[in-house]
Amino acid sequence: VQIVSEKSDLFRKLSAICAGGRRQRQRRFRTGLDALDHLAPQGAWPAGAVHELLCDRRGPSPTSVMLLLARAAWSVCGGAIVWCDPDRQLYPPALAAAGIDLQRLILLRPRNSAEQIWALGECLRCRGVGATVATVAKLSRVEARRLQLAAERGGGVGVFRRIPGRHPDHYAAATRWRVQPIPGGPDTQRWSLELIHGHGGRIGKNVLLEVDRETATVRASAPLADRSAATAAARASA
Amino acid sequence: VHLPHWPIDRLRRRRRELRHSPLVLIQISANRQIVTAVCPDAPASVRPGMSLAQARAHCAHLQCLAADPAADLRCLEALARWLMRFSPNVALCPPASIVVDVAGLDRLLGDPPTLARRVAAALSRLGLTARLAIAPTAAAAWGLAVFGHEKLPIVVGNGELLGAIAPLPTAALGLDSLVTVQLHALGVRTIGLLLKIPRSELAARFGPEILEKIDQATGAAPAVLDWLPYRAPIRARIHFDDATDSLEMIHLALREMLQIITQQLARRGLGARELRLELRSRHAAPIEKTIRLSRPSRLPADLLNLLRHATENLRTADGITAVGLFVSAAAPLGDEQSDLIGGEPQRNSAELDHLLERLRARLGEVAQWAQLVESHLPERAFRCRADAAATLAQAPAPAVARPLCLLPIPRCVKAIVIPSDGRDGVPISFTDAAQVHRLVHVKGPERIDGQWWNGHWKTRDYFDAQDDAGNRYWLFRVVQSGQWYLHGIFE
Repeated sequence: VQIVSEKSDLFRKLSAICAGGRRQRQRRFRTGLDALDHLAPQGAWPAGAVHELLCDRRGPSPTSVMLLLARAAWSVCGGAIVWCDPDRQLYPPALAAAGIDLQRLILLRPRNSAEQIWALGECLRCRGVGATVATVAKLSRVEARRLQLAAERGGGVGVFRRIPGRHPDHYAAATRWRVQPIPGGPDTQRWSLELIHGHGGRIGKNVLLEVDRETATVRASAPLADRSAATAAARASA
Repeated sequence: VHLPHWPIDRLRRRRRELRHSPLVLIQISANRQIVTAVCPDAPASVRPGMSLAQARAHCAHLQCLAADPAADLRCLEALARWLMRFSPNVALCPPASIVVDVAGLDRLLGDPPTLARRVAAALSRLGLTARLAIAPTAAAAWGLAVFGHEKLPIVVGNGELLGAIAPLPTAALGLDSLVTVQLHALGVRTIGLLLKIPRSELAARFGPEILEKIDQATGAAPAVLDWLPYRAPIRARIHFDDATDSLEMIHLALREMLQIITQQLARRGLGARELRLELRSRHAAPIEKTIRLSRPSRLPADLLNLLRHATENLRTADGITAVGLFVSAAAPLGDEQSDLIGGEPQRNSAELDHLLERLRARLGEVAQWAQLVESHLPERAFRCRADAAATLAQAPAPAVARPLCLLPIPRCVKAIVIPSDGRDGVPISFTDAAQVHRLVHVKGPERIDGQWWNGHWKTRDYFDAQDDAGNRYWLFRVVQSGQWYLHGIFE
């Protein structure tokens, strides 16, 4: 009989099995953009959760932000990336150029929103899926809750684009962000992200994402107005 | 059974879009593209053996595909197995013939002419052109099917054999092509003439094989055929006493049938890769569902789960009277070792496979994989496949900036260009869906030529244009017409 010491690998594995999947320590992921991670709850994004990006119906979809989150989540959770693309508009060569392994990318083409919501639930619940990306039009309270629970069970990350409308929109997501394009420079495209919900996060603060138009690399910076306010506060406290 | 247009019929049966235009199959040998098969609706001047360029000269709108003899043979075997519904003894005669032993089937399937008509009707329902001949010997039947007269089916009784094969060319004996040419040069053009030559002289001149072939055709010697081994299908069926519309009842029946099926699979060491479920009702056509599995399985619980998904949104007018389950594809499956500790990656990938099976069972082919293809045209640079992610060969990703959203069909827009008279100006604004976008930072042009070798001469000039609200678009101008299109959005 081997005596299992508390520090051994075997002990950790056994205790993980005894604890079951539900109570395992919640994993977190970072995007690598400090200014953005800084706003998220406790400085990192929880895995096993849904993150929602609110974006105006008329504006373009914030696909590069979704890509950023999906890639970061996938690097922690592993598995496959499921990208819901009912209109066949996603362009896989651009995803490949952004560093997504196309052998791990599953394009999901449901025919209607009922099918989509069922499929999203299944994907989030599956441990083999690291990130699930979709544009979700409308969710009932039960559906929103069910998707979040599915993500908690599966341990992967859901990145949903939501469209704010007249309907009361229900959510059970870990974080919600308002995303909008803002005028960019000759070589950069800019997005503004504002955290509007997320326990432990800096709600109401926003961050500027700059996408390089040639290389598609992303930089994040706190907006100038915010920084001057911070320095003013620092000066006052000094 | 001879299939004169087998490779073409096979492809057209599978791909509907090929049915409407003339099609040839080509084989590339020593830098030349040689036509190997021509569809019957192409002009008569296009013949196998000519180069593709010559064929195109005769018929400009010719479609061409690469020939795949291995797949032809594989499918021929599948067709032969399908023909086992008529007779248990079926053998392949590559490249495009199948021998079916119908001796003694009169009482089951009718006399030979009726039987031939039934087989011909079944094959034509499959979309295949077939020439059928029934003769006392396999070699004679093959010769008649390939070289016989136009009036089909050809049925030859025991006494008429010699008379029927006498007018056929000597090639109908399946002789070596060199021997046929020599016989032709000697003026021996038909089998009838060949039979008049004394046997000893034939053997001395052409070797003993020719006598053997003659004997096989006339029935003097037995034919050696490689019969396909019969594999009993794994299937189960349950008839209900009365029509039922209760889903529980159907699931109960499925559970029973899965027990039978998984036992048979276990006995053969196989796992199901594809299950076909058939639900019969009294008046309506049977409902058929196909369930494909990512990896072979014979666990009743897993299979039942998938069948549940497939039957969940079932609609019937007057209830189900019978349920049938059939393993249409199976693969060897060893006894897997289950690991208790560790192995999380394997467990996760198995769970992913189960997810894909559930999606497929309930929603059809909704999950797809992208494959990058070598093409400089942006919309042709990828392809979506519904199977086998890991095996797809990927072309390198584009090195230049490409939008994440590409419209499947470019949208026509109105653009204002500076300078306005030239064909090579830069856009300053465009109107899409009655909304004006003022462009501030425009990059380009990136010129992309059309596929001029396919007759697409249009050249596009692409611009990466950002408007004053911060949205970024991918616009192009067709150089020849000056028309502007919106092709993608950098999101």
